[in-house]
Amino acid sequence: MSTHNRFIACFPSFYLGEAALLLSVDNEAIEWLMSCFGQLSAAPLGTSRPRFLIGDGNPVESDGRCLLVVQPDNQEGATRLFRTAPNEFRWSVSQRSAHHFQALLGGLLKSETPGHQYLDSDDPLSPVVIVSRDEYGIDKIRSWLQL
Amino acid sequence: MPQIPLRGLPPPGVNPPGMNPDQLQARAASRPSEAAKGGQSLWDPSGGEWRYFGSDQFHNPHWDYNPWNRDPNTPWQNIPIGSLPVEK
Repeated sequence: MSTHNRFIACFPSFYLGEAALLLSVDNEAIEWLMSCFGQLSAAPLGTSRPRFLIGDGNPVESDGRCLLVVQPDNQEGATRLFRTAPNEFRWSVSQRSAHHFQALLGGLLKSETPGHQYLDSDDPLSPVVIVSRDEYGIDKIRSWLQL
Repeated sequence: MPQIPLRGLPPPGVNPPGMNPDQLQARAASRPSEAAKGGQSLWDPSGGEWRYFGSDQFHNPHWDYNPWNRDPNTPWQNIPIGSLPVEK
């Protein structure tokens, strides 16, 4: 899977002055994300549900600046995203949120125009994940990281 | 003293493109995370939702628009204001 059009970056004030993780994707990456969230939403609680990584390599690059570890919330509580290291975040995702995210990504996949979806956590202090297709060029995102 | 626009609403005199401002309603934003922060949107007669984003380090002022014309999973679109591109 080529990573040419896929990139994730964290910006401290990207969304209305608040932190956000900007995830630029193509259709193939959307399908991959849908599959990953589908596995999170479908597996019964208490079983070993797979976690997955977004960033720094196939299928999403991040130039070593942002790694998002997506893991199931085995307590079935609130979805939240928090920083665990300077360049690493942990996203604890409930089954309900995983199902919702999968549906939102499906809407983005079906759309014929450039667009984005907001993958919100339940925790109001968590940065939002903005999944964007055909809106922000990778070179532009990389240039913003130099600001 | 000028009023500070509510989160998501435009400054006075700025309206979504092609919209009659008299037909727009300011109501709570659709996303619960935004509504919980007091975020508002302009709603057009077709059910479209418009949110104003001011200038920041990355963007020129623009609209965040959702036509809500397919289903609850309709994606959002960046709509430029005037001749400026969305990205800086």
